[in-house]
Amino acid sequence: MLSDNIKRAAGEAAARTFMKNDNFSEENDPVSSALGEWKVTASLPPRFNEEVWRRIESAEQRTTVWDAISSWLGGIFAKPAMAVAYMSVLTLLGLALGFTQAEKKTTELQAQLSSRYVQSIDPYQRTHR
Amino acid sequence: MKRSAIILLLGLVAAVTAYCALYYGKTREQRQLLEAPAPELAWLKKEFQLGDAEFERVAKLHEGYMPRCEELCRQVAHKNSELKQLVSAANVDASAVEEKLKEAGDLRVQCQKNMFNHFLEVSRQMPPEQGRRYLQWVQQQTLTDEHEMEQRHGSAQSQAAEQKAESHHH
Repeated sequence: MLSDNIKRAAGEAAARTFMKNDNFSEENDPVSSALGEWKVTASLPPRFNEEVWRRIESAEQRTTVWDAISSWLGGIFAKPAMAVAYMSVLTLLGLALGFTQAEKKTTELQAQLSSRYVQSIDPYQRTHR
Repeated sequence: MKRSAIILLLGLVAAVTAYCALYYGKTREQRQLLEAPAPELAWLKKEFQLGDAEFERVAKLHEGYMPRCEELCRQVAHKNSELKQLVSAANVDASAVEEKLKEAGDLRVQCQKNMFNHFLEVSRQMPPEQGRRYLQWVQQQTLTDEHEMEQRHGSAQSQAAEQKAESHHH
């Protein structure tokens, strides 16, 4: 009911402004009077203020960490030399890891193949014995 | 921020690409060997640097050796089952068991002789240096078990002798 009054009053006020009615005064403004009449009767949940502040703080903290990381990265990669260095280091790391893993796997496969040969010729080492 | 994210991502892509390229490139040969129709022979060819003609002769020897070896294995298994029957009988005939043991032993010797002849024949098909290396390697691989058994047996015997000597002293 109250919101209907406000809407109607706001519509009338807008119409009056549009029509450039200079006789309009604040004392007679139905929006102001309607807002003045408006009373909040619902009670707030317990620890409402505390909860609001906690949410604001956590939102600020999140923003701060993310902002810090992104600005730090932006600062680092702003220099082309740093971007190239980063790419080179990661590429070298990939190569080194690939090399060591491949060495390990090659040794494993070699052993597997040689033992397959031995098992094929030596009856004492056959699995079906 | 967008630029930083792109650079970060490109770095990771470069690392993964480098890893995969080296890993799959370096293990390609071994993986191909495993996928060959006879991986053990394909490995032998690569390991002992055999030419196509040498490899063909070695493969033929291998094919000829397998049925002989399998037949001897079958005979040894048969002798072993006969031996088990003799031993599990109500009245164990010691002389029959001894006879069967001797027969099984003879078959094993024959099996080993057959195996060593095969090694020699294969090594002769290889270039001299590779042949020597093959003989050395294959004997090391096939004699290890018996050698270990001998050592274990030897150490068990020496332990028993030591215990006996100690008990005599007491």
